[in-house]
Formats: sequence, C-alpha cells, structure tokens
Amino acid sequence: MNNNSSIENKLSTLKYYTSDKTHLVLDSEKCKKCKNKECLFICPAKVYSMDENNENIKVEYENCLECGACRFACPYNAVSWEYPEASKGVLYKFS
Amino acid sequence: MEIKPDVIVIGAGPAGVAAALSAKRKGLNVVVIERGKNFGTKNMFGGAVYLESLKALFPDSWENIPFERFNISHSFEFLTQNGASTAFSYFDESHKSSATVFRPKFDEWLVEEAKKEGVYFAPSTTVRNLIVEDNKVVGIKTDIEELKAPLTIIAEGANSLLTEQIGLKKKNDSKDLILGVKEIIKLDKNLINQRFNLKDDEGKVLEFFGGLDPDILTLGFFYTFKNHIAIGLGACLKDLGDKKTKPYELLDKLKSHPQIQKLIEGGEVVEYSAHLIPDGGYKKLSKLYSSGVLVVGDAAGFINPVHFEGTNLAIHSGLIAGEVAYEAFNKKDFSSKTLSNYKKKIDKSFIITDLKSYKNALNAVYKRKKSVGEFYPNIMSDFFKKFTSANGVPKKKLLKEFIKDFFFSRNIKEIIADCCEFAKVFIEVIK
Repeated sequence: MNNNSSIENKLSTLKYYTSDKTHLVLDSEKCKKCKNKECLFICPAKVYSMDENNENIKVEYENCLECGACRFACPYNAVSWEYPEASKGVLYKFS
Repeated sequence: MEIKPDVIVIGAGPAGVAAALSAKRKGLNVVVIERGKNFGTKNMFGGAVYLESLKALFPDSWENIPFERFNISHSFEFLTQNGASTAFSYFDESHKSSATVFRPKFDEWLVEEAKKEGVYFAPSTTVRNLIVEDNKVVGIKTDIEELKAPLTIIAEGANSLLTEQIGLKKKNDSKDLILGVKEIIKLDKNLINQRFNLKDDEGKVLEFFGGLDPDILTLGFFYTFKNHIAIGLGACLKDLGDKKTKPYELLDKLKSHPQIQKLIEGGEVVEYSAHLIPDGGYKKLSKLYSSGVLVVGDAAGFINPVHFEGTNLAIHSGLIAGEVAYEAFNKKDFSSKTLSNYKKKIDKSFIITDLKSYKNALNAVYKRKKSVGEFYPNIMSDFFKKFTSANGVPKKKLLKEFIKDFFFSRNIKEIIADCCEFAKVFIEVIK
C-alpha cells in the first residue's frame, strides 16, 4: 500500500453524483485581501487552489466532501456555502 | 408532499431518527427530511457507537443492528517521531459497551425501524430555509416546495446552517471545531483477528497522542470492522489554518509512523472521508429552542470529546425532544415558554451534567497541546528507553538523568502550568 498516497488518490476512492452547478462561491474581492488563505490548506478535499496565474482561487466544488470546514475557517466570511442540490454530491459507502 | 405533519425533523442521522421515533411513539405524525439520496451516505464518524443509547431507543430490536465488531480492547498511546509508549490499555472480553458500525448500513437500519413504526421519510430533499412568521418557526422551505408544521426539530449536524440562520447559534469559531479525516482500509478478517489479538466479532480501539505536529491539537484514532480497519485523526481547524497544514498530509504522516504502519500494512484503502466535530463543549452550545423549533444532536453541540461521545448524546437529546413535542401538542402550545421544557430536561440529563464537568477540559488540552503532543510522549519514550536498556551504565545514574530531564529539560514553569491546568479540570470533574 502506498502510504503517502496523494489527495487525488484518496478522492478517487469516493463516489460522487456531480451537480452541474457549484454550491460554493467565493467573494473574490475579500479573497484578494486575505493573506493566509486558510482554505488552500484546511480543505480535506483540496477544493481550493490558486489558478494558473496565481491570482485567483480556483474552486473545484466537484470534490467537496460537504464538511463545511472552509465556511468556518475563512476569516473573512468569503465562502457562501450551500448544500449541493438534492441527492447530488458525495456518497459514502462505508464511513 | 401530500402530508400534514405535526412535527418536521430535519436530518435522518441518529438524533433525527430518535426525535422522530420518540414523537411518533406518543402518537404524533412525523416526517423526517434527509438531503442524502440514501440514508447515512452523507454521514461520517470515527467508527463506534455506545450500546446503552441504542438499547434505550430500540429495547427489543437493538441486537439486530448491523454491528461490525464489539470493542473489548482499548489503548491510548503516546507517539514520538519514531517510537510509541502505551499510556494505558484495557482489555476485557465481557465488557462490550460499544461497537463499530458503518454509517450507511447503520443509519439505514435506524430509518427502516422507524418506518416500521410509521415515521415518514423524505430522502433526496434539502431544506434551504426555515419559514419564520411572527418570530415563530412554522415550517421549512426545500428546493422545490414549502412544508408547514407546528413544530420543527433541527437535527442537521455539525455544519449547522439552519440553526445559525434563525439566530439560535453563532457560527462556530474555528478553534471550537475539530476536522476529522479518515481512511477505511480493507483487510482480511483473520488477519485482523490475528494482528490485534481478537476473536470472532471482538474489536479493538486505539487512540494516539503526539508524533505529528505539537502546534496542532490532534488526536489519532483506529477502529476495527469485520473486514476493514479505520485509521484517522481529528485536528483543530484553527491550528490547521494557522500552521498551513493539510489534514490529509497529517493523516499520511500518521500512517507512515512505524508503529501505525504495522497496524495497517497489507490493506487496501477503499474510502477516504471527512467531517466536522463541534468541540466547543458546554460554553459553546447553541440555544436549544425557540418558538416552534428545537435543536438536537451535533447541531446543538452535544459532543463529549473526552469520552468520544456523540451519537449517544444525539439519541438522548432526540428522545427528550420527542417527549417535549408531545407535551406541546397536548397543550397546543408551541411557544418558546412551553418548549423551554426541552432545555430544562436536557439540563437535568447526563448530557449537560457531563458537558458541564468537562467545560474547560478541551481548552486545557488546547492550551497545553505542546505538552500532550510532544513533551510527555518524549519523556515517556525516554523513560522506557532507559528502563529497557542494559548498557553498562548504573541504573541509579539513568534514573537520576531521567528525573533531571523531566524537571529541567524545559522551563519548570511549563510543568507547573500543566499541573495547574489539569488539576483544575480534574477538580471540576469530581466536584
């Protein structure tokens, strides 16, 4: 077993019913002011990453585990967080 | 939805199902709204439920619950970078007070039992808002429709959007939240039994302090299932942000510790998952009621982190909420005043007694996290290393060295601070 499996490998164990529309929206103005950018680190599904130009935060909502950590960790209240549309999103088989 | 419920319950986890059953058994019409397509598939926890609350909820049928293993062996270990010492370990084959379960199977079972008793369930339905009229909660708004009822019970879990929306709770401070991540690993049943000295459906629970990052308050955990094991950790959300640390990297670090590697070796990861735990304790509970509404389970903040209790508190709070719902119906009065009985009953129950006892416990551990996560694991490891060595150095000398290290390897103020913090907690618990 690969003990240092990447987050991509971890996420590949999961089943999702992906919605066409995002349930996570960032207030990019607030994000620009944010120095620490906690969301880039604390999200257990690496939903947030810097875009190619290292300017804006990219949101890969498809990987979201719906825990809500980003909503609480964001010091600027910049994450508008809703549950994905009904019956969409992650589906645990074991946990 | 062609129904006119007396009570709407939001969330089909243990708190929601318990509340629904408790109200239904008193004769009320109850509908439970669940956002997941299948029950339990949005839910995650460490791995074990205490049996006592399940016996209270299902006195006749609890033995049919799809349990994985009954925990008879518990160990608490201190990890250092490469070593581990057992703080304490307990084993008794006749002591089966908790069992591991998989949430999709377990939650589904709870729901099926509740359906047999006449509770109505609406899966694949997400509640977006509570309907508030004249400062009273009078129903819910889903993606597609409105549904009204004289009483709504919120059992929405840790990510408490609705509880916040109606002002019963302020958004949690990230310091009061633990982010749990874990992996389920498939491992042969016989291998599990052999490796952990178990037989049949006996289970083992391990908890780990230290060995990761002393600046991040973290507790590692390990559970056994029939043909699977779970390895995971809970880390303080604020610390993760402050230290710019990814929770899954911390999990990988735990998994690569030589002690842990041996536990999980040869298995295949079949599922990764994450969930929040509201660990603010007594001081950070939500307001439990308002006109037309009650809050139960994780949404209310009912977690006892010291004893890893959550589902049992969820079930007990649900049972009490159902009773209060019935009282309100008898009186035809869903005012805040009548529903305040819920708080009174919760206050008298073991839920609040325990949460009050431990109201400063987690904060004490948080303040002294470097001691728990680094100093004591190291000092214990150092002690055992000396104790188990024969290297020609007189034992007297080794012991003196150890005592010297214990008191003088860091500022003596640190030891005093540890003693003060933990003594305060201890006194609060026993007084």
